[in-house]
Amino acid sequence: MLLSDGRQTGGRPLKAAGAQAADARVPVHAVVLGSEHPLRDLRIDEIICDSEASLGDVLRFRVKITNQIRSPLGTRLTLYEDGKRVNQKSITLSRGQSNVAIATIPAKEGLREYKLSLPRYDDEVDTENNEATVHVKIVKRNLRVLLICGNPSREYFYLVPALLRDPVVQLSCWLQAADIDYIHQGNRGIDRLPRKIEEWKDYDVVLLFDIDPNKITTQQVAEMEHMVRDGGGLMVIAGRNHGLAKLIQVHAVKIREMLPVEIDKNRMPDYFKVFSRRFAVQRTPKGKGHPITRLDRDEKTNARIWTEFPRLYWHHPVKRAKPRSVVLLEREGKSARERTPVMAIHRYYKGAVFYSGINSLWRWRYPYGSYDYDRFWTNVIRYLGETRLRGTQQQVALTTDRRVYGPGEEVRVLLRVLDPALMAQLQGQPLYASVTTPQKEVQMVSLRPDASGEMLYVGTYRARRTGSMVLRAKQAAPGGSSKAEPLFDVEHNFKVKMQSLEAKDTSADLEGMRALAEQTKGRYFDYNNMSEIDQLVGAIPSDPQVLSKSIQVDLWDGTPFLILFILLIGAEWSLRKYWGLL
Amino acid sequence: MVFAQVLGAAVNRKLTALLAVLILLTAGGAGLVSSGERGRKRPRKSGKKAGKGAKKEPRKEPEKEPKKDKTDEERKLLAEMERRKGATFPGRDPAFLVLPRPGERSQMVKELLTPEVKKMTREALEYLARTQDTDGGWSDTQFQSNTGVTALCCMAFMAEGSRPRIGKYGKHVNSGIEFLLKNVKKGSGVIAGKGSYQYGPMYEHALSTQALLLAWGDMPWKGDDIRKALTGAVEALKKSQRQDGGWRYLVSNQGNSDMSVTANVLWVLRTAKKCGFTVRQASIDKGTNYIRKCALPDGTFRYRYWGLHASPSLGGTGVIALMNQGRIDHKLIPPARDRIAYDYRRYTIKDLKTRRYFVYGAFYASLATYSCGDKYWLPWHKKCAAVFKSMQREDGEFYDQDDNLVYPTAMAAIILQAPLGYLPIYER
Repeated sequence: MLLSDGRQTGGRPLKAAGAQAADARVPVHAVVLGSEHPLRDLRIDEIICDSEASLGDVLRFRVKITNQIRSPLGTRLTLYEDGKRVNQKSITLSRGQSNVAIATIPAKEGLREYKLSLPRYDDEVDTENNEATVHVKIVKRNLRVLLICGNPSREYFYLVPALLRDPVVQLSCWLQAADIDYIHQGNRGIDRLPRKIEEWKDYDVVLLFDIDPNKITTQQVAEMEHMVRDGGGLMVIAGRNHGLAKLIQVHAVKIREMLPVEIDKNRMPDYFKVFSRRFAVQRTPKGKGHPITRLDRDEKTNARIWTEFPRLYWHHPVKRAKPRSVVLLEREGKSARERTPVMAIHRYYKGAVFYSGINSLWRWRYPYGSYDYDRFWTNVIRYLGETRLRGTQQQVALTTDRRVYGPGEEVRVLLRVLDPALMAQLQGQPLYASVTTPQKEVQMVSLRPDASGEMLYVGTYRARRTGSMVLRAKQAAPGGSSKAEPLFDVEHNFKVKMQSLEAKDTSADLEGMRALAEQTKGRYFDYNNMSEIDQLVGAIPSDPQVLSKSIQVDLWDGTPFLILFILLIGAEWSLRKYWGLL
Repeated sequence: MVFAQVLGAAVNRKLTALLAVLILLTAGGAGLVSSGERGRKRPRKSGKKAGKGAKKEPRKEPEKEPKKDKTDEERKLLAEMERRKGATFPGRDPAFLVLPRPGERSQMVKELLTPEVKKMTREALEYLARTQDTDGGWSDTQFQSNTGVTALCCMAFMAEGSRPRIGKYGKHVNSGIEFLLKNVKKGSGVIAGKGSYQYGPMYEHALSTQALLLAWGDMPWKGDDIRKALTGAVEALKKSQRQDGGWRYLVSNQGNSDMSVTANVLWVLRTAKKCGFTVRQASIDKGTNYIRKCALPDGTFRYRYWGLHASPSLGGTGVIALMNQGRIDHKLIPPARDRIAYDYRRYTIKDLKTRRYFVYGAFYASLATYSCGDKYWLPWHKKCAAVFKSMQREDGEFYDQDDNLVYPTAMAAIILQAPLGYLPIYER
């Protein structure tokens, strides 16, 4: 009679032992202790959040929670900031591990302690793991945005409030058509455009909205290019007033180099044409996965919203997208020629340049008000300014397939590129990650593009030493100096430790135990039929049981042979004694 | 020695065999250490049939997958933070008001733009498109070839999403704007045609300036013409502010003002500021002060500040004029807003449609209630649409007490299309 949870922590495999018992005609009556579910526990496995966050902006915590209580489990996740409750969220968890997000808006600068807490349940094996704490540095930082606009078109009316609604944006507007003594809009007012390279570097993102190329100098364009090259963001919105052809004609080299699309410099906007035919725009396959086009966390809702946006009447003509640029949005059409890019992006050294050939995004205020419109602009600005705001780190994610490994196990290193434009920039570049052991030994891991075509680089590392390992991936910008700041520099920690095999899996192996019982023709009991356990006594015969079995015994290994051997040895010894040979 | 070795081997083999049997009998025991879960409730249902001995197992209930949380918590947090903060004017000029962001996707459009409202709008726009004069302008019963009426018609098409030479009514807007430009008087900068109001062209001028400001950024082929016209037009507005701080029909700074024209001009000057024209804050403050003097504690406004009777159609103009100071929480706004809400709730469709200047009053009330949020805007728009439904004639037109047909139709079309959010005069 075997009382066990069926989990094997050593010895010969259960199946082999069962086969042996079956051969010996020993019925094994399996009584399972436990159930297919692990021991009751609700725990916070991991909190993923930025180590540094902006004051007044949303600070998001992604929490990995393992529910071993029941499914579904309705519970509450509470977030405390320095001991004060700042958010509470009702969540419903299925059994196993789930990811939950909770957020807050930090109101004070400095190092803050954030505690995430789950309620304690009866009979939990461990209640200490219902809480977890992280420290986040709250800093006052802003995205300094400069909007240069030619004329106050309708988009301008809606664009300015949309940008100002973002709490991290410090907006300076420069309306080229304005009066000389005009007080320009924005929460960071300016009286003139930047004139020196340092002044341009004071901005993280610059938006050129259908600008009059004659009201900006070539030197200013060159300085702006330098700002982008150094990690800034640039958005060029084409409009009907001046068009990009005119801009290229006046500032050919820099603008043409920076744009992610090719523009015919001889094709001026057609002023006399009446645009009364509507066309739809669609996200390209790469555009679908891009953070800029993500208007909803749920991809199904996101896809629906994109189809609900009204059709447009005008977009700027484009020859083609540049080879390493990523087209996010294109004009809907049957042939490739009809599918003109209307929004594209590419990495420019350490910065990024975004092109929009549409000047009537205000149409997207239908059908849900300004919600999606504002969100789109927030996405654009955050994306373009991310390098300055948080470094390109946010555009790659370095992880391992698990957090904890045993010695000798294989660690799968994953570098996920979240930005298609960055992926295009990294094309053909050798990528490595380094693993640093607690003894400060460094081992390099080669990362190769994933064969599935995902935006993923994969490598493997064999865990040899125990302790906390630091995984790091650092990459210089292609064409950039090796001394220059890296394109990204990300870290991830994992542990290699001796693990308790008992605690590894606390669920019972019902199927294994059932198979053992069936294999040996024994009875099987688990919590489902435990009330019938008294039948087990009847199944065990009270009389001594004679088991017949055929065994193969080597003669030399039998008792008669042993006796014969002893007799012969004894006789030999007696004779030798008798003959005086000893 | 040999004997001892053989004996040892034989005994070892025996012991090994005996040990193997023991291990077998403990059923791989070394590895099978039991550790179970206690105190678990017995599920009502069970899985597959167990081993030979088990007769019947209770059926196990499959565990349900919890629903995914689809709410965007981050957006809601930001919206809540902004709601607490209220409307702000982040720049140096209070004209640029930024209202809190919506916490979630608004269903307002779907709720208000019913098939019936869409049909009414379509018919109204078609009526306007049909009645456009050959010179690009529009005429009304009282106002022949009038710039004010033309400006309103252009704005009605702009509210649909059309721009000059772009969109379904792109041609109509374009020729309408061209008409306005043709009627700019040299020297004074006043935009008023031959069919202007007999007592003075300020309404026409203000509305024309508003339409030109909204079209300016989308008419590149006009070059500097439109900029020059607008500079003159805005200057005319600024110069004609009277001593009491307001404006009236005549484009002159002499005489007394009235609340209706003053509110209109303030509204236009605010748009002018957004478009890059310099308007002194002192001038706006003086104008707003005039509005404040016209206000009564019950939320109504008098036509002139020394007048006795309040005019119900002036509520909306009062609210939008007061917002010029960058304060949506101006102490006079809540009573005025509540008064509009009360009026539209209290009075029947018949009462409202027979009111003098109903469509005019509704136009300004729509601008005011839209800014005050869905709580006020939704019931107001529904009631207004119901009144319009009873007013619309067979050809799609609306009317006023003087049987003017075009300007009321244009104003009604603007109101009906306001939920689209395509006309920047509707601010949130």
